Amino acid sequence: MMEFLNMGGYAFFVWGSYLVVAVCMVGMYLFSRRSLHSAKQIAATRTRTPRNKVRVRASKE
Amino acid sequence: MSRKSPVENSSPNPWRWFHRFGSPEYVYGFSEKWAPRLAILMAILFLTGLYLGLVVAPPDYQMGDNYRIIFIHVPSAWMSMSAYFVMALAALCGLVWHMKVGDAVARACAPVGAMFTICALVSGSLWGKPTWGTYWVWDARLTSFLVLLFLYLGYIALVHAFEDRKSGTRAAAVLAIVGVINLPIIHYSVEWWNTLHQGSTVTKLGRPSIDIRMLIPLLIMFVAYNLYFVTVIMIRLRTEILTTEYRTRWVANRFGQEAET
Repeated sequence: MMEFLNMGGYAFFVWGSYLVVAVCMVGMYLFSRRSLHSAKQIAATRTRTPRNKVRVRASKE
Repeated sequence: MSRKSPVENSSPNPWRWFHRFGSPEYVYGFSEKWAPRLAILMAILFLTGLYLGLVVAPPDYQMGDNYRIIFIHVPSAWMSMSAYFVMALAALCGLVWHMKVGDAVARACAPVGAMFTICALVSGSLWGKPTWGTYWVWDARLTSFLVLLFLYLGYIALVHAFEDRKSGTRAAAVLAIVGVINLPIIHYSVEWWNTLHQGSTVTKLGRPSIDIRMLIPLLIMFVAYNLYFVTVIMIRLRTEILTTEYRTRWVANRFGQEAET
């Protein structure tokens, strides 16, 4: 296990690059999901205005 | 009111699938359906690729274990270039044919592509230090890759430089399309100029000069990276569609109801 973590003496470079890439990619994924979530909420509040509500009801009939 | 659009009335149209992908509503539903499924597949492939690459693959006879950076460096670099190509193509569709989905895809691609470029540059410099003895050199490959990052950042900045999102996207699309010239420069930089960066080992015609136990995890990681790109684009695309289409009937129908209940 220690041998695996040591990476033949290149631990800093190997794990360093893996860490940076993992943080970037996971961060981008989570950030994208969060902004989609808030965009959905904004869309919901915008369509809650009375004018749109009438339009929504009308289209259901 | 049962007026049908001419497209629906006509006999089966071979271009129907293409027209469907021009509709923001259809694309929204399509991405909503496929993003979670692709995410599961992506996670499985990432775990397999990392296990095979970090544990199973043997050390390199010259670089020792340090070469293992290849499993993230090469797919990151590939993806940052193909993301740029997708972005420019989508921007072209948006600019020429006023395809709303094209604009949305282009805007969704830019931050992801910039992120891939940063990943490739950072992992590359961490690989360069022990093998070349330096974190950075101004050689053709590295410099043209830095230009790619600036093209992405320029695109993002231009989109946000206008009050109106539509004009911003149009101006940025021109930059994206002109910047495509950088892609062949990056690709051939290792052949055209004497660079410190090595030539490609995997796509060499004939047989690749790499051990099969190293090649398999690299290919798995490549597929995983592609799935990651598609999944994240499908998420970001929906955000972009919602921010521009919030006035439309289908968004009102969909989110108005959710808000009421």
